[in-house]
Amino acid sequence: MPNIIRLEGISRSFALPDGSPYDALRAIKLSINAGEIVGLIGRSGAGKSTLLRIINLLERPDAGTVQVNGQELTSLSARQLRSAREQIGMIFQHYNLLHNLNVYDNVAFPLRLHQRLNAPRLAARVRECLEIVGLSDRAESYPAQLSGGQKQRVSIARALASRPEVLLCDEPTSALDADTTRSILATLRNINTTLGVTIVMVSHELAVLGQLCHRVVVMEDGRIAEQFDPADTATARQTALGRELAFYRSEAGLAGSWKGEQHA
Amino acid sequence: MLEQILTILPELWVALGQTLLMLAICLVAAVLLGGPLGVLLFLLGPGQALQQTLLSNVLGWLVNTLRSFPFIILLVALVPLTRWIVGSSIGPLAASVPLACAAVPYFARLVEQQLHEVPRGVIEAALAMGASPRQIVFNVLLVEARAGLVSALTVLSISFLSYSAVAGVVGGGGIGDLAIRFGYYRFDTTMMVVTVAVLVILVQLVQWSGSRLARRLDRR
Repeated sequence: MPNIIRLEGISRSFALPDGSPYDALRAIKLSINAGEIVGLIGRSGAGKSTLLRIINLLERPDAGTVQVNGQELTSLSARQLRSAREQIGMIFQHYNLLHNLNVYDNVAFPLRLHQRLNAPRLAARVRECLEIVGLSDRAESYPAQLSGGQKQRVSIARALASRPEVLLCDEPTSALDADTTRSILATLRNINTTLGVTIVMVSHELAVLGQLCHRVVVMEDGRIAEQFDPADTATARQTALGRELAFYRSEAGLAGSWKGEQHA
Repeated sequence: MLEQILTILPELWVALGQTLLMLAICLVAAVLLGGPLGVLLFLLGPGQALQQTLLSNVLGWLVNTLRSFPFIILLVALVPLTRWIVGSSIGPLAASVPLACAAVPYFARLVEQQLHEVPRGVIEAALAMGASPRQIVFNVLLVEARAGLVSALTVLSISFLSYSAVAGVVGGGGIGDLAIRFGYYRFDTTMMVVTVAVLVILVQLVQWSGSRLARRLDRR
């Protein structure tokens, strides 16, 4: 399978408040295949969020190359980067919707930025995306009138509007309760299988990642400590987080995987 | 008493017209010049789209300097500029020049402050979708901050309604000036009460409509 994302030699350091440098990422090399769901985990400060934000260059690396869909993002002009970003959707822990726009206009937002669709096709695309996330009946609502889970659905619809190849998820379920988390994850999986969108997700919730991801990448101190397929239980895990994840997975397995329920 | 009020009524109308003229000119200048200046101050600030420390500091210093002048001193100091623009240094049009010069930096700061209220994450989400700096301003900042901007304009209007009273110093006229000349200097209590009452009503009206509009624009 071709790599849709290829990061090489990525380093990024920040200045701490006392002026000393802090290496958030050290020479990271990571390739992600088209159609894969990859989870990034690690303790706070391990660099997982920074790494995610490198993929659409919200954070610029000090060194290294960022290839998405065969395009080297770090060498693009501002204009080229803007159109490259159209192909990379992103959702956030706090949804980041525009509060003064209703659901319809929020989903239409990225389409209006790039103006590639005429009015009827734009409307059709917005309806389509709201359909995917199951919010067709809330098009006229404002974000303040929605629950957390619904807001995250709107933000998923918004991220899908420009038909991205890649969806970046920055702790998408950390502010949600368990039931809502489950249904959001089912939506994400559905998007992955039906639309073939590659998903890269940062999360603290090990159970979430164990259930959803094809591959989990454990980060420690700005490096990739290990990566594995959570379904592969035969190989010994090297990191504490890796072992913890295996435990969650077996717990979930005993309790009867909800994976089955969702597809039933 | 009623008769007295009736005799000053024509004068009151003229004064009201002058006040509204001065206010209109200075608010238009504030919105057209102070608004963009405020947006620029915000965008040049740390961590924003056009981050430029030097330019940001220079503009910030300029705005602060203009804002540190007591208004009556600004009024006198700007007489040459006023003469050059209006051709005269007396009258309501002349008074509008220093009023505008004070309103522009004030509104710029208010706008900058309101834009800071827009959550960082929303701007970031727009950037991640490929928004240009121009789109960040028009499609994100002005949309999300619109209720706050209306409130800022309300505050500005009320502040400058009372500043315009000082315009009497250069023969600017207006209701505040009427209150000072007749009510204060000539101990004409009726005139004083009537003019202050008009000002109270004006302020209430501006605040009421400003708050109402802001509430209607705010979906948060």
